[in-house]
Amino acid sequence: MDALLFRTATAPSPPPMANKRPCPSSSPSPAAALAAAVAAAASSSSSSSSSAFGQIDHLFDAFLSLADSFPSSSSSSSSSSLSSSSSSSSSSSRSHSIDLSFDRLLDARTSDRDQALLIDRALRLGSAITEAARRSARKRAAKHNSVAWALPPDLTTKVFSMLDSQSLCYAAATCSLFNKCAMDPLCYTNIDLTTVVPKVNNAVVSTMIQRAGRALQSLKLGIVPGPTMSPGSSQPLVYTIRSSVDVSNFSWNDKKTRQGKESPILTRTCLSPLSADGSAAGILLRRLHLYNIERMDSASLCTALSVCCSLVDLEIVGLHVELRQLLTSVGLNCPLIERLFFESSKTGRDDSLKSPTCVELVNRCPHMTSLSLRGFKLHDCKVRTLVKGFRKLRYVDFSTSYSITGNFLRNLGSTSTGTLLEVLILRDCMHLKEMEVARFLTAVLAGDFKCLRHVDISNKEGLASEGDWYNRSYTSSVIPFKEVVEGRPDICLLADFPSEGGRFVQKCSFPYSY
Amino acid sequence: MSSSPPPSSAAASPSCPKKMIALRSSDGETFEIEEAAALQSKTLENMIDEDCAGTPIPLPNVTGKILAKVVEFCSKHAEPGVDDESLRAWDAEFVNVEQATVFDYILAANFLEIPTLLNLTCNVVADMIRGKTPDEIRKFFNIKSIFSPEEEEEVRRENHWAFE
Repeated sequence: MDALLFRTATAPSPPPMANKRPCPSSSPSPAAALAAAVAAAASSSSSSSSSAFGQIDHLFDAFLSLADSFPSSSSSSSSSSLSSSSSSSSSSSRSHSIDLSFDRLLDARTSDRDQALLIDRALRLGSAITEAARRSARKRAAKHNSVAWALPPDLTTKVFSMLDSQSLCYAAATCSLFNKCAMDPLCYTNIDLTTVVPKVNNAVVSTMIQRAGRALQSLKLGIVPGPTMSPGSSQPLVYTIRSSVDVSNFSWNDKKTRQGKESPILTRTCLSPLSADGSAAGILLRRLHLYNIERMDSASLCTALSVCCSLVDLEIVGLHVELRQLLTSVGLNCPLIERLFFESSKTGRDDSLKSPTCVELVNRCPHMTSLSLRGFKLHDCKVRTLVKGFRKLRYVDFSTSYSITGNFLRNLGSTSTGTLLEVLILRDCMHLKEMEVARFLTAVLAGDFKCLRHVDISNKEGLASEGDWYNRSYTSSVIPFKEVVEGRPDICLLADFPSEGGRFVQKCSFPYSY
Repeated sequence: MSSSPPPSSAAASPSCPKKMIALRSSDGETFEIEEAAALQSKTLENMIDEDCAGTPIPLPNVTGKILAKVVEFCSKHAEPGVDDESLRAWDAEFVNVEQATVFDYILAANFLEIPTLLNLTCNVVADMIRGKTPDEIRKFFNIKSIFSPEEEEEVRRENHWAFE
């Protein structure tokens, strides 16, 4: 700011009266310059119409040169520099220091009212100058930026639409053009508010959904440990916040300016913006991914799903919701669904799935192509209903499931589903039987499951023996690993049994996204 | 290679081998591009349909330096039998240029309506922004803030969760 005033003061003035008005930078003192300017202004009044500067402009110009006698305008150093300048500078600059001059003017006014008036004028003039200077600085910066950043707003928005939500917020704080572009609904088509630690609350979700407007397509929310992992990996994405201490560490709480009671983390109603305004947002949503939202429960999730009639891709990991309720809700409300990925928050203890639920689901959701149910208790008969019933099913993942033996795969190879199935993942299924795997791979070898290209039956503990599942084994005499590799080279077969000392892994590219 | 038939207004089907389209940049340079490659640009596709009896298509918004690279990009992407992985690697090399050039590519891809090039180059700029704080973004692109301190505070407050 100071530099700006300085430059204005030293710029050579264009009008014809310039030769009568000395350039302030060469004048011995600002006082002389001011006097000269006043004289010039007075004598130029007759020809002011022909000059670019009027009388006031000359006065103002000279006045601004007084800024030179004021050591620094920055608040941090003003008080200290004043004291240092008053002690070390010459007497002439001391006598022209602005605040001392102002004091003298004030003292000259005898009445209280006149003094108040003077102060008021100074304040008004001061803020008017500040405003004018700031406005000009902004204009100049904008001009500079339009050269440095060559993209017009629509292309800037396009770039921003490729950013994650956090980077988008940072970009918005960069400059006003970025702020404007970052508010464009197109940047919020795919809202990704997943974080490694909890720092998003309901208000943020609501704001983002609002900004998306009619452009909303996808919403990802919750806590994901580390960089987002592809759903094809076998690592469970469930992550529990051990204690509420983790949450309260964040200085979030300091910024609760609005409602004092607003929770710093996502609560059960975080998806309520989807239902607002006649479910305008919910209807648009095609993808919804939720991870480890501690406070979410079945009721609130099902309420949210009830408005998401266009949903195509639903991924729920680590939520305290019951499988049966979830599948019922999906069946009722999401007829267009193509991909379901559920991972239980309490591995192996959710036994809620019932046969009627499976039947309903396959009837109501004919477009299902990808089904992943991980960490639940699944019985073969129910799984069979699902796998056989979804006519377009291509991707199946029942990793870390309990109870499932592999029986459901019998005689599946030549059915319509079996023909279309491309991926089968049964990692770490405790009750998966060696015999069933053998039977399955024999069928594969015989030419069933024509489209199959990826099978994963790896298990940390090996496979279950025929009699007691507690006995573990894998034997390549029973399971035709090598034959499958040779006979069906198009299939990538993963069979990693570390505890058994066995490892049969055929090299293939993994993960692939679905 | 078989000789190309003279570019005429007769039914110009893409299966016609090696038909060349002539382009002229803003600074007067002329470039030739195969029709199949040119069709990657919606703008050029429209112009070819209307056909201008073989005169070079003027592109006043694109300089010769950039147009040469755009032609290279379209030709590569029109090549048959290139697998995804090597094409991706080629793309990565293609955009491994200085920032100002990436901007030029974006503007050219936008003008010529080449979605593949536009997405590729916009992603490059997005990568440059991703993960940077506002100060780092300003420094990287040499942008000034323009915000008053109060305005910047307001913006940060609106998106406070990101700044925690």
